[in-house]
Amino acid sequence: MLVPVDQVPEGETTEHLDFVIGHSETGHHHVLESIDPFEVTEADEELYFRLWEEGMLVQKKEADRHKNLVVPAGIYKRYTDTEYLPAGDETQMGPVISMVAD
Amino acid sequence: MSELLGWMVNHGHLTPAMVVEDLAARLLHTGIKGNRLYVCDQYPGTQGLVAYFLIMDDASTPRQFVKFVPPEIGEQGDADLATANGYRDAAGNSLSLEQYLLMESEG
Repeated sequence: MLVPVDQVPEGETTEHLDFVIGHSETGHHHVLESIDPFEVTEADEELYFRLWEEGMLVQKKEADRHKNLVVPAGIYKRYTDTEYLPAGDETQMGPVISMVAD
Repeated sequence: MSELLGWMVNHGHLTPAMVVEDLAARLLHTGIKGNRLYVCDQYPGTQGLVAYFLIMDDASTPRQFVKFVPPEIGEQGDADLATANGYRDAAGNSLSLEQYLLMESEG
């Protein structure tokens, strides 16, 4: 998820036309794309995106995929969907909280 | 069990309505964006574990998703708060309720 923020902190900035926002174990990555270059800044392991023009969030999947989402120009910070399992799993006691890839 | 349950719902083998019935869950709160928070007072296979989960409508397809929520969040009884809490940055900080409510779409 891309969340609008006011500014980009100091960090390493690169320029892209497309960037994988969320990796999927099945290869159905969520990719931010734009016909105009946008900046990706990594600061303290966080990712920030500065779009000068509108972009598109695309799910790389052949069928049954999410509709492309328009991303207006602006500054965004990436948040990741987390997964909680109430009964834990066979190897861990208690609840498990893990970051989901997709 | 919950991972399998989530997989079966998210792949169309179970409907959220079936999950609600099977878990004898009750609706706690419907959020502003339509997400619904439920509570199961006796999670199967556990000794009295109270489990909270969201049923969420996908933004761009007819699909619905089941997503379990940590109890300390679920017991606050707010579906929007529970949804926001499910999104974390790299440091593990969750999205605030205010940030979540300001967002027009979830992508």
